Amino acid sequence: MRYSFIKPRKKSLFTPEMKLLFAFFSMSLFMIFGTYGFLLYKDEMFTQEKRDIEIERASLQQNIKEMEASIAYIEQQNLTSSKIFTQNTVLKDSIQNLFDLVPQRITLSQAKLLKNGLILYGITPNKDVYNFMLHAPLRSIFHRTYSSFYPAEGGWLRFVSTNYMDEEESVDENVVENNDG
Amino acid sequence: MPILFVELAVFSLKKLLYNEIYINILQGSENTVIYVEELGSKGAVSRYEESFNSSEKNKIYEYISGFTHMSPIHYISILDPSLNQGAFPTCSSADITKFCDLGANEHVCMGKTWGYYTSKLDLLQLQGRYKKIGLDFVFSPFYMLQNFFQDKIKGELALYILVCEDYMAMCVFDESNLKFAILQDMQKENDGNEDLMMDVSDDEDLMLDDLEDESSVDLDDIDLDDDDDDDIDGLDDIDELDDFDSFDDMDDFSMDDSDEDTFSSTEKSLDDVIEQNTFGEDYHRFSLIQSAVNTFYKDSKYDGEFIQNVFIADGIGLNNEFKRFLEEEMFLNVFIRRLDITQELSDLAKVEKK
Repeated sequence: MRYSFIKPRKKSLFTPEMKLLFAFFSMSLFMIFGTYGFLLYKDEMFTQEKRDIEIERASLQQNIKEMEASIAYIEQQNLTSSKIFTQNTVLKDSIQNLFDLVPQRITLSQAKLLKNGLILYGITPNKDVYNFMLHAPLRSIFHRTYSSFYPAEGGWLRFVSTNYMDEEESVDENVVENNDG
Repeated sequence: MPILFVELAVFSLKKLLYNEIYINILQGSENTVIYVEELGSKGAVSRYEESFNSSEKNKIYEYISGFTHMSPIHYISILDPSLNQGAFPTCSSADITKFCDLGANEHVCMGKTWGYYTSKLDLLQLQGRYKKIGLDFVFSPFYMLQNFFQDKIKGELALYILVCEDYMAMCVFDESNLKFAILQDMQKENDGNEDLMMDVSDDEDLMLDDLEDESSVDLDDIDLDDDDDDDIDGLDDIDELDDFDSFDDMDDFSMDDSDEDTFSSTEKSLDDVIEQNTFGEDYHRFSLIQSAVNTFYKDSKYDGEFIQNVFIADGIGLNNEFKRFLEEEMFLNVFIRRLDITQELSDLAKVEKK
């Protein structure tokens, strides 16, 4: 029950000194928790970044493996192409030599270039021209040489010359057709 | 429940951080007494008391501010010095208006049986006077009187008086029911003391006429430097009043020349004046009490039952003569109980703030 004519004033803990104290402590706590929060954030960021880098590293390692495989394949392709190029060069030289080997009086109608042999089709004026001017160089090149003739128009002879080299190699057939006309 | 815990926590924190300080102001027309109690958290109590001239407001504010800055948990209490206050023997709004104007007065009811009031204007003035430091409690002298004599007012009809420096609060209680209340202003009546005494003697046919004629003097006429003792010859009789147990001894009173030789005339005059002053005040109080009792008996508003017992809360230190006046002149049984008003104010504030 109230016996006084007036009511007492409210008593607050927050005197100016206390306000200053609370402000100071609040600021300190804010800074501490702010720093703590910042460090937590940074730590989380670093962890996230570490995870990303791990993933990226795994990805790069995978890429490296793939690229190494690609490089190996390309190198193999390169080797293959070089080999083919060399073979083509050799073949080209061989064909060039073959055509150089054929005399003016004999006309080739077809040439089959085998892995270990050569089959020539053509027309010769007679057997002697063939034997002296073409058969002899062929025999010097190939180990085995077989020739067959049959008559053509105007007294000319058609011939088939089959030549083999005795080598144990797989047979890859390359057909080169050369039409002199 | 959580709010209760929070309040409890705040309360504990307050207790832990700050001491409770009760600042009690007893404002008189001449002097203002400031009594301070500081309650420590472990129950230790420190007390400070200082008296100031009432006109030295700044010194009072400065002294109080020294304590209020020590702790925000401070309560400033004052005993209402207003002379426009009183009490009424009812708490019904319709009946209160017979005793005071509710619009102009602030009132507090004590249960349903009685209440007390004070002037709103005086209350505002009081709050204005202490605006710099603020006030928490303004207690009525009637409430203090009732609280002080709690053990007595339950009894049969008696007059209860709170004697302060500037006024006397008087109540008549009959089995805890207020019958009559009045506030008698000491200052107002001082100038007309002689007239009042004459009135009283007229009314009551006092036997003090002779005493007044022989002993009462106008204090303004006393010159302390005057070596002529003619004017205060009569006071020598009063000087010795304390040495007597009763007025009966007055018959045997005679001037002792050896005492007169012991003191110088100046010292004697001073003592005489102080004694005379005290006697004058006591007699004035007696007259005011007599006047109040007379009002109680004669006013038709009150059931003028016969008062046999008087309980006095003595806040100033009354002389034995005062009691003797009442007993012999008014045929009352007088019981005087010493009251430390500022301490009582502090106790009231402690109860009130709960």
